[in-house]
Amino acid sequence: MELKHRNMLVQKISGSNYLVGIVLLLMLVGAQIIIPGFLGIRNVGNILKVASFIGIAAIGQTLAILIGGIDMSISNVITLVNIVTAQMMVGDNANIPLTMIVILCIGVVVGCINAFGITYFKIPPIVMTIGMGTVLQGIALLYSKGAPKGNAAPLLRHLVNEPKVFGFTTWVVVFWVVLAALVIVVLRMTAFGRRVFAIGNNRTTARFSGIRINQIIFTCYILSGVFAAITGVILTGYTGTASAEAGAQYSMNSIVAVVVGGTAITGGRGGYGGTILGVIILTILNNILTVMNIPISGVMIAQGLIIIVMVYVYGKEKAKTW
Amino acid sequence: MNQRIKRVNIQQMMQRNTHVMYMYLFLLVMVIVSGVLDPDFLSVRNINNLILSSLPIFIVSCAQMIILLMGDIDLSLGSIIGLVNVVFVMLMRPDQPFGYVTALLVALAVGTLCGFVNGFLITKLRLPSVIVTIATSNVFGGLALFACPVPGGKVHNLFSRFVMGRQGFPFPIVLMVITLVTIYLLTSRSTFGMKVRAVGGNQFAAYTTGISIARIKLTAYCLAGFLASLSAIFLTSQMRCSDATVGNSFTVNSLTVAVVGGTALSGSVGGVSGVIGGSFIIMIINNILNLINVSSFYQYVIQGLVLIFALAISSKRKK
Amino acid sequence: MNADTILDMQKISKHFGGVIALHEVDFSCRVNEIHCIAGENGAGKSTLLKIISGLLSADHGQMFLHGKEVQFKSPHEAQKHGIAMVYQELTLIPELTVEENIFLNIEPKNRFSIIDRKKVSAQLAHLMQEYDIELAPKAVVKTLSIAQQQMTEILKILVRNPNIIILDEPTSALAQGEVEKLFHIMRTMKERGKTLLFISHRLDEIFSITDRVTVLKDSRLVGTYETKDLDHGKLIRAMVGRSLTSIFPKPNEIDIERTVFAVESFSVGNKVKDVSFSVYHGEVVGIAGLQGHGQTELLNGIAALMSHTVGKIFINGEQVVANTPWDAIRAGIALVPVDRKTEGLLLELSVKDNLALASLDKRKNSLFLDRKAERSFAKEMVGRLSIKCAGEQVAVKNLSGGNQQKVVLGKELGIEPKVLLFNEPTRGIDIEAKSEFYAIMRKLTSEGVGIIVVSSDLMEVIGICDRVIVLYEGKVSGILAKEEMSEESIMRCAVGLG
Repeated sequence: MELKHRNMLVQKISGSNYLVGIVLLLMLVGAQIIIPGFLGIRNVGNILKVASFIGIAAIGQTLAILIGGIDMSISNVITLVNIVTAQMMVGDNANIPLTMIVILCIGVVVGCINAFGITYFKIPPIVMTIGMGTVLQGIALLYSKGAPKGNAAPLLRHLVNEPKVFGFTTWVVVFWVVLAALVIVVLRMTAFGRRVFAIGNNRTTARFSGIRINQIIFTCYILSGVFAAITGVILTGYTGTASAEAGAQYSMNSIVAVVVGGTAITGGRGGYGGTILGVIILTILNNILTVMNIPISGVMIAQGLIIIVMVYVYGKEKAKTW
Repeated sequence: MNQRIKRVNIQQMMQRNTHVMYMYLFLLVMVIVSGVLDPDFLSVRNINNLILSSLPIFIVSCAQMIILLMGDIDLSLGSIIGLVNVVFVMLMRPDQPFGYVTALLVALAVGTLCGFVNGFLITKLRLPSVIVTIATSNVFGGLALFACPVPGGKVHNLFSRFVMGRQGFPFPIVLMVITLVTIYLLTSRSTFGMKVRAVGGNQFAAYTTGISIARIKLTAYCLAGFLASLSAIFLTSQMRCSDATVGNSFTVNSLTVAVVGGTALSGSVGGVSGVIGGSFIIMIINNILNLINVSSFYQYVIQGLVLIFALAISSKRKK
Repeated sequence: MNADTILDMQKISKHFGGVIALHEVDFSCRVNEIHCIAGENGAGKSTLLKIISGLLSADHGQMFLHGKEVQFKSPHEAQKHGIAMVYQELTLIPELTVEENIFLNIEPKNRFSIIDRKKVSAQLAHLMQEYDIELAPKAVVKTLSIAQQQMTEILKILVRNPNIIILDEPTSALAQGEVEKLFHIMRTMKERGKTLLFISHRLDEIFSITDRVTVLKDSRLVGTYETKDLDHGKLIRAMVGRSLTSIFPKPNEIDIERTVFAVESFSVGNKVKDVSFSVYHGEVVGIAGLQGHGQTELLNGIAALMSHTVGKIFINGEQVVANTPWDAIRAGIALVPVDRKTEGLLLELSVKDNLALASLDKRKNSLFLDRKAERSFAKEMVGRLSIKCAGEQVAVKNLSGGNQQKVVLGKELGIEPKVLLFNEPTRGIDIEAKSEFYAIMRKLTSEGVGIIVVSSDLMEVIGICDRVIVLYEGKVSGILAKEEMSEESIMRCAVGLG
C-alpha cells in the first residue's frame, strides 16, 4: 500500500515526463562539456530560435497523434508554403498581408482534405496524409517550375532572426511561448481538450458519449495544417529564400519530438508539455551532432533509433496524464 | 440442391474478383487510349520498355501486398531499396569477370536482414508496424546516405546487360513470370498465404487455430525485405550507379499499386493478379504523361491522387 | 472415478484481478454424452469451458484427461489432445471462403506446401455428407448468415476430429428450425462417440437434448445431475437458489395518460422495420428476441448512432429530431451500451473523468471546465450509485464489472436523461450489483424517466419489465403485458409464431 502510494505520488508530480527531464538535464551537462559556451546566452537564444520552428509544427503533430492519427503531410505543407511565401513576398513588406492570407488558406484546405479522407472515406491517417503529401510535393514543384525563387520580406526576417527580445531571443520564440501556453491550457482545461483525449483513448466510447468526433478530428487536422503553414512562413524568414527541400525533415522531427515527449503513439495519452521538452532535446541533439560534424545521415539514424526506443519505453509504462 | 451450391460457388468467386476485373477493364481502356494517342505505344519496343520500367515497382508492390494482407503496413520498403542499391554498388567489382557474385549475395542478405529487423521489432517488442517502419525507414535511409553521400559508382557491365535482357536471354520477362508465379502460389495457394490472411483477418481466430502470429509476421517481413532487395538489384542494373535516395518514391508507389490492385488496407484481401495490373496502370499513367508532354512534376500530384481515390472508391464499395 | 470418464477436473479456481470467476469447482464428463453447463449470467460457465479448451489457464486445481494430468498452454495444445471449442466470438476469417476457413492451418498439402484443393474438396464433401450439412464451400464467410457461419465453425472443429467438443451458447442466435438442425448434428456427433459440452440459457433445450447438467452459481459448483432426474422447477432452483421475486423490486404505478417516450414507424436500414411503441410514466419496457433480430440496432438507432434511420421519436409528447448522438443526448436520450469496455468506458482514465465525459458542457466556467464541479459531481454519483472504488481518481479498468457498469450508468445520468436505454445491463455482473441495478431502474421510473431494456436473459425480462416488445427479423412480433409474460410466450414470439 505504501509503495503504491509512493508510486502514485511520483506519477502525480511528474507524469511520465520525469524521464524526459532527466534526459534533458544529462544532455545539457554533456553538451556544456563537449561544446564550451553551449549554455552561453547567445547559444541558448539560438537553440530556442531553431526549436521554435519544430515546436510550432509539432503542435499540430501532437494534436493529430493525440486523437489517434498522425500527420505525414507537415513536411510538404512547409515546403509548399516556403516556396509560395518567397515567391509572393519577393522581399517586400507590403506583400505580407496577402501572403499570410494565402498561406493560412493553404493550411486550412490541406487540413480539411486530410480530415475529410480520414473521416468520410475512413482512409487510415498515415496513408491519407502520405498521399496528400505527395500531391503537395507535386504542386510545389509545379508552382515553382522546379526552380524556387523569390525571398522573404525584411520584416519577416527581422522577426525571425533578430534577438531583440530581452536581449537574447526573437519575437518568433515569444510567439511560440504564447502558443505553447495556449495549447497546454486548451488541452488540459477545456471541454475540447478533454474530448481530444477521449477520442484518442477509445473512439467508440467517445461517439457513444455524444462527442462530435468528426468535428474534433477536422479541428485537429486543420490546426495541424495551419501550424505547419505558419512554420513554413517562419522558415522562409529564417533562410530568406525558397528551396524544394525546405521542410523535408519536419514530419519526422515533429514525430520524434512528440514521441520523446511522452505522448502515446496510439493516442489518448500525453500532451504538449512533453512535446516542448521533446523539441528542445531534439534541437540540442541536432546542435551537438552538427558541432561534432556528424552528417545528416547520422541525424536520420539517431532519430529512427530514438523513436523505437522511446515508443518501447513508454509502451512499457502505462501512466496516464491529461 | 447441388446445382444451387455450384451456382453460389461461381457467384461468390465472381464477386470476390470484381475489383480486379474492373481494374483490368480500366487497364484495357488505358491501353486503347494510349494506342490512339500514340501509335508507337503498342510497339514491341515500347512494351518491352514498359515491362522494364514496371518490374521494380511490381516486385516491391508484391512485398507491400504481403504486409498489407497481414493488416500491417511497411513504410520502410523505399529505404531498403536505397540501402541495398548502395551496398550492391559498393561491393561490386566491375573489372572482375565474376565481380558481381559477392555483391549480389550480400545485397540480398542485407535486404532480408532489414526485413528481419522490422519483423523483430514488431513481434518481439510488440510495437505498431506504422511507427516501427517509419523509424527504420529513417535508419536504413540514413545508413544508405552515410555509405554513399553522393550518387556514383559503377555496375558490372556484363551483369547489368544480362539483367536488362541484352545478352540474348529475356531475363526481365523471366524474372517477372517467376515472381508472378511464386508470389501467386505463396499468397493464394499455399498454407503460408492462408496463415498470412488469417493473421490479417482475425488474430483471435488465428491464435485459436494454432497459428503462430509472431512467426508468420517475422517470415513475411523477411520476405518483404528480400523482395525489396530483388527490386533494388534490378533497378541498380538499370541505373548503373548508386544513389541513396533512389528508393524514396517506392514506398508510396508500392502502396498505390497494391491498393489500386485491390489489396485492402484492413488485411486479408488482395492478390498478385491485382498487383501486376496495378503496376502496369501506374506505369502507363506515367507513360501517357510523358507522351502528352506535360511536366513530370504532375507525376507526384497524380500518384497521390490515385492513391487517395483508389482508397476512397474501395471504402465506398464496402458500404 | 467412473470407467468411461474422459475428462475430470478437480478444485479448479480462477480469478481475474480481484474478481473470483471460479472457486474450487469439480467437474467431470463421460464419453458419449451431451453435457450442459447451466447457470445465470456471470456464474462462471464460460470461464470453465475456456479453461478446458486451453484459452485460459486455471490458477489452482488439476485436470485429468483419460486419467492423465494435463495442462494446456494454448487452444492449439488442447486441440492436439482432442479438445475443441466453438467460441461465442467469431473465430472465422471474414474475407476467406468456407473451405479455406475450415481447413485453416491443417490444409492437405504437397511437398511444396501448396494446398491440395482436390483433397480439400473431397474431405469437406465427405464431412458435410456425414453430418448432413449443406454449405457452399467457395462462399466468402462474411456473406453468410449467422447460422451458416456457425455451421462453418462446427465443420472447422469436426475436421480436426476431436473427442470433446465445446459449444458456448450455440443456440442464442438461431431460429427454431436452425436449432433443430444443430441438435441433429449434435446427436450425430454423440453417435460417433464424442463428448459434447454446451451452454444454453433455454430450459426446454436442456431437457430435450442433454444427458447430464452441471449447475454453477456465483462461481461455485451447485452439482451435476442426470437430466432425467430433473424438472424445470428443480433446475431453476439449483440455478438461482432463491425465489426470483426477491431481487426484483416491486413495479410502480403506471400512468397510461402520460406517455414519456414513443417511437412511430421506426426503421433502421433493413435491420429494424417499422417499429412503433410507447413508454408510459413509471414503466419499464423490455425488448426481447433472438440474438441479431434488431434489438441492438433499435436502441442504437434511437440514440442516433446508426445511419439510415427513418421514423419519428417523441419525448413527453414532443417530436425530437436527432441526427447525431450529440443531438440525441441533448434531447435527453441516454444509452447504456451493450459492451461497457469498448463502448461505454475509457478504461485507462479515472472514474471521475469517465463520469464527466457525456456531460462536459454542463460544468463549465465560461471557457474552462469547472474542476470543482466535476469532482463534486463524481462524488455525488459514486455515492448515489454506491460505486465501490478507492477514490474517483482510480482508473476504471481496476473496478469490477458491476462497478464499471455503474460508472457507465452514472455517466449517462450526468446528462439528466428523459429516457434511458439499457442494452444487456447486467451481462457479466454479480447478483448483488444486479439487484442494485434493478432498484435504480425502478427509482428512475418513479422520477419520470422512461426506461427501455434489451436483454437476452428472459428471467430478467420477466422480472423487471412491465411490458415486453418481442422482435422477430426486425419487426414487432408481439407485445406482452406483465401477466402474459412467460419464457414460453416470449420464445413463441421470438421465433415468429406470435
